[in-house]
Amino acid sequence: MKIFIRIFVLVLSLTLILTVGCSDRGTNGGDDDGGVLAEGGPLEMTHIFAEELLFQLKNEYQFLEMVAYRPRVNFDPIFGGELKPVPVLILLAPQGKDQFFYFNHGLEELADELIATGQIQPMLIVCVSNDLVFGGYFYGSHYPAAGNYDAILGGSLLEHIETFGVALNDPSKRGIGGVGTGGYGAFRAALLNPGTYTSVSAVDGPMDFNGADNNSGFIPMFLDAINEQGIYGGTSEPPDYETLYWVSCENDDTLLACICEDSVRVWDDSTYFICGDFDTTLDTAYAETLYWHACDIDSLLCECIDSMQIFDDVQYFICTSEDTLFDTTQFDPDTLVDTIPFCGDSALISFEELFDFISFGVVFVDTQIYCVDSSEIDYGDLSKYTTIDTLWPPSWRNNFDSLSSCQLSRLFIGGALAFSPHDTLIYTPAYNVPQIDSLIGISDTMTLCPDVVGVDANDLDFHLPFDSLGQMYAPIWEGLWLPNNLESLLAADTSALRGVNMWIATSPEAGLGYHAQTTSWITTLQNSNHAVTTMTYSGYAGSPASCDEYVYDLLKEILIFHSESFGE
Amino acid sequence: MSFLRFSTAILAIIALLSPGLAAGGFENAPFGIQARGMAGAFRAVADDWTAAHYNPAGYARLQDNQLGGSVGLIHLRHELNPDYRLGGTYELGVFNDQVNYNKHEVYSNPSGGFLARLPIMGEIVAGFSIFQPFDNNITWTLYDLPLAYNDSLTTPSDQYSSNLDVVAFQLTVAREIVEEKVSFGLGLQVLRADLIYTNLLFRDNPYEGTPLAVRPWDKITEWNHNDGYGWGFGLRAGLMFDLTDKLNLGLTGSMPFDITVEGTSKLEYYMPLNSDLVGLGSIDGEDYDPGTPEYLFASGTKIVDTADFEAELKLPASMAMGLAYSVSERLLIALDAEYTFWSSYDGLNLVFSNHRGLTGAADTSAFVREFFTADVSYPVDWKNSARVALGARYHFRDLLTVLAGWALDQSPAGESGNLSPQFIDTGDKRTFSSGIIYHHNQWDFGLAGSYTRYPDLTLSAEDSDSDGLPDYMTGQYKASTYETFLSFNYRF
Repeated sequence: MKIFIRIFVLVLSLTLILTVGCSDRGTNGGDDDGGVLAEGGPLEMTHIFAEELLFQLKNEYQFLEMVAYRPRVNFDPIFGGELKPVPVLILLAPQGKDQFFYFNHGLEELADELIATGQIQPMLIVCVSNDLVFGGYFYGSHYPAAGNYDAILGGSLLEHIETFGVALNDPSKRGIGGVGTGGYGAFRAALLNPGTYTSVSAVDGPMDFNGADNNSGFIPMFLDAINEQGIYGGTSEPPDYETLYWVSCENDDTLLACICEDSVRVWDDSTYFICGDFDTTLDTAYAETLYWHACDIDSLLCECIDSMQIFDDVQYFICTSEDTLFDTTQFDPDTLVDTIPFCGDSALISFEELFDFISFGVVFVDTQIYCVDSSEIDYGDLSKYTTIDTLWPPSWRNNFDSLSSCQLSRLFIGGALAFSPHDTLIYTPAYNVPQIDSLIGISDTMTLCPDVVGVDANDLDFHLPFDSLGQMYAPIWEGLWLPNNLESLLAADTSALRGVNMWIATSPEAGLGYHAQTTSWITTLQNSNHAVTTMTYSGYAGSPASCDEYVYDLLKEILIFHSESFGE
Repeated sequence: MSFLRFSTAILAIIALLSPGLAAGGFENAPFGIQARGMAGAFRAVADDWTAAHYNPAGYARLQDNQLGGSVGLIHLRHELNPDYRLGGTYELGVFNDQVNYNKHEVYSNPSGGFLARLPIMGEIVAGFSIFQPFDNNITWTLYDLPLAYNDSLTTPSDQYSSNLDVVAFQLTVAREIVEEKVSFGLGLQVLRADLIYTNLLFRDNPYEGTPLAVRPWDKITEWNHNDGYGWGFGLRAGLMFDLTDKLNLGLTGSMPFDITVEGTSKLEYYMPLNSDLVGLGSIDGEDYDPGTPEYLFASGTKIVDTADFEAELKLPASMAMGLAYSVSERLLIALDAEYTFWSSYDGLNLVFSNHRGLTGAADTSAFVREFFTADVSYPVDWKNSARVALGARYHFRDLLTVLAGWALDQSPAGESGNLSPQFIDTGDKRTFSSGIIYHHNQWDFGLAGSYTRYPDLTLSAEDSDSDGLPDYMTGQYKASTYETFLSFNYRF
């Protein structure tokens, strides 16, 4: 009996041990479990730089918009601080972004976390706005029209910061960085102001205007900017009136009551009309979805003949053909060259109006800008007509617009205002004194964009570094832009970055060709024996790192880099 | 003997092939002290009331009426060290690179039944029992809203949880077909499934390409809590062959029918807080006005929707066979093999209806309403799986019975990577069990315990839908299960 009891007790004990031994292992928590102690807060720092920004376009009160992250140790004691001066980091916003850019990517929370965990030392982080009208001026100008950022970042901003009494006035405790054009601006400031900053950081930006081979960088993007504007091939000469026009008709149901005369192109890369001897209508989507309806005027039969691509006003392509007069050879959409001159008499027409004008049910034009003369002409039984002129091109230079939808164009406009402005005529109501035009006065007018940017009754002109074919224009590009290239600035003062800690992040997915420019700049630095810390990053499936998607993630690295550069 | 050799050969083949086959899942049998003490190798033994589950034909051989019950105390001790990041790089708030444990909980699994020999159709044995053929219960806290995403909200602790109980109310009848040679048993089941399932989802911010949807606000955190139940039917049948005086063969099959689970879902959306975009903070930046859909995606509120849900629970059929050999009057050894058709289980697809919690722009804007009312699906691609068990029973006189067993149990999910925190089955599991039964007059009191060891598993990322998120919770898994059973049985 005893042995049974012992066995029973043994098994019972083992089982209870198993059960009781399943001890509570606690509750899981993350690194930031419980929230983050607020280690700082925002500090409004917008300031009037009356002298440096006196003539800056559309900035009549000379504001430089800024906001800063101020660490708690810097607060007044009544707010829990120590009034302890701290290092300062200046962050420049990228193209078209304001002073809240970094805050909108989690700066305050990240700084709180990093300070609270001791990963960075408390620092004042001053966030500077970019220009919001033209995409900014690369923070790179001493020309009045774009604002004298060289003077601001070289000293007057630092003086302004000093007035708050919160930052250490010590170059070894001062850093600058930026994303995109802000990254260019950061390096430019460090290059032009040796000894001012101890650390520079940048994330993909225009760091090498002409690329590693001196023929890349921005150069291939000139054509993209022209196409973005829709003014490829535009002439700067006075218009030559009508040679091509298209006549449509109201009675679209039969297609038979239309008269077509010659060819016409609506000014959009993928939108064409063609009229020959037969009534012809086209769907205007791009190649694979173009459908051409050709009508044999004798048999009165219309037939849809698959896809069609026209690449100029002489040759045409179709996939299959029966009732057609079109050439079907040499179809290679990738090599299409558009030789139709610019149709310059553009009018912005609403979708509804556009539809009314030229769609007539079967012709659909997917564009808002096109050339139109809506005068009615009596063609006997036909009551309404739309005539589209296609050769009335005014100067393309007058049509280079700074629309918000044209980000690339804005980049070049901003650069042109900074590097190759023509004048600085600005009416400044604050001083009620019209300023004198043509302070810069470049006599060359080949790529001059006049009267484009109007300010009240006045204007502001600039020179683009390319022509209407997207070809680099050497006098402006080489004469005025490239001297502002970082490579050139470094060559001008090879010791400017000595002793400066540098950190650059780049992504192969970066837009605007920034990756190639950035890697080229890194190579330039390394070849000139500068130590630079680099980081390559990329996005994830469905979310490439093409712009500023990952600033949140990079900010942590940037802050840590600068903090370490500031030393103890 | 040829049949014996054939059966033995089949069992041996299943045993040998089992590592290559793909009965784990959430199939459950934590009841019956003899069965659990013998690691489940009980189909050819089946000599107590729990035969209702293991082999209904066993009832025909029972001479006593019985009333029994048991309770299983189960403790899942799992570990998960996640590596769950966007694109393999970017943090979402999951507690990566640290060992996380499932919520400490010892849950009970009661069961009971009785049987009686009745003078019907000659003589049959009938019984009624209640037990859980399927069970899963686990809860995890693995996440906190990422830094800067929204500091004003906290997510619930039962972020990833599953509490599935399928209870069978089974009427069992059995009788001998060939006297002292072959018996047959049939169980008719009414099944009741109760499901509480919670999960976190990281949804693509619909405002992609705007400042509203940059990191860390590119993914919207959704937590859904689904609580429902459903009824269904099932069949369980068995045969028992007395091959020799010492050798028995048991064959069983089980076929549960699909159960439609209906209930209520609470869908909570932890919206981003970017005060600079809505002017709530001390910085007055670019604003989205209150009342607009965009405002919802920057103002940091928790949006709660309530809806009805419906989900089809496709429980798997299974078949099994077992051999039991009486080495002596005191010693019996048994070998079981079971094959479960887990491939029929395709996960949970929750179809929502009758949304009734949204207000304001979340309700009136078709664009965002579509976002907030989207159905959710948790599909799996499981494989059929096998389980092999070897058990022994030894009677010490008439007072004490000692039990021991070992089982190898395949995972339907491990090899295919269909793991989630709610269901962790990392691979071929090995179970060691033992037990003891104390006999006193007509009473039997039992105690057993088992330990199941799972293989460690590192699950790497796959992103079949190209949303940047791994398809499953990737990381390092470690798991083990401790079970303790208490039982009584009264013979009369």
